[in-house]
Amino acid sequence: MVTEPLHRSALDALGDPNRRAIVEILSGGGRSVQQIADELPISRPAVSRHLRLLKEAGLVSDQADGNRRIYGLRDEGVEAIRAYFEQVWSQAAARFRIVAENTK
Amino acid sequence: MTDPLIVEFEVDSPPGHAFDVWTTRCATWWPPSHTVSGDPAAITFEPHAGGRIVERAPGGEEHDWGRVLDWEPPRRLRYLWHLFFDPSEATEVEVTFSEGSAGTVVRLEQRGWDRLGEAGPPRRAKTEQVWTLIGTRFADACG
Repeated sequence: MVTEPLHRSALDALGDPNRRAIVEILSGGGRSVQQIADELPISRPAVSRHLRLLKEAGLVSDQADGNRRIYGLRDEGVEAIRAYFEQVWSQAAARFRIVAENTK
Repeated sequence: MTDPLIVEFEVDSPPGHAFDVWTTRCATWWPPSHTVSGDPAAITFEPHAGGRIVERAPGGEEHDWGRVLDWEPPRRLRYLWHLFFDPSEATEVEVTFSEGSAGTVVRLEQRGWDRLGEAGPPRRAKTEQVWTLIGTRFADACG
């Protein structure tokens, strides 16, 4: 019923309370994995896993800082969410046309 | 300032019918993967300004998606839309149905993105509650 690419996008990312917490933390500025883990009741590997998903969703980006990586919100996530909706509406529009043109 | 999102397309049926399909048969065309339940029994627009936009899950639970602002069949519809977000972080959607060469030109504009930019920082209790409510079920439904 559902297709893979959309799940790996903003929806999946925002559907989880820990990822929402990470997005909130990052909205205060860039942080390392350890800094994020320090603020949450979850392990560092779990934080890394969530960050990977957020990155795939286009909500977060990272850059090297010495031997660690600093994660930050990408365009505050807004553009990514907008892009996500664009995808949803296009899909909705295609489905809408089929229904509207085949009903009276 | 983030530009409004505009989606425009044409359908081979009159505006009145397009308006009806949009508002009374939403569950037949809205992608089910982008709903709270993943398989809604109905998605309803209450047909007046101030009316709710509600998803009804197969089990009967209701999930609020937004509020109708302008109800002007068969040409225009405007609503607040907060599916996935706290109501205070709603975006605004305006849909117009106008006559085109092939039937109806449907033009959708979604705006108010900048309000979402402020959604991150404040850890508001209210936001937290709504997120928690939507959270796990939503993630399960979607993936």
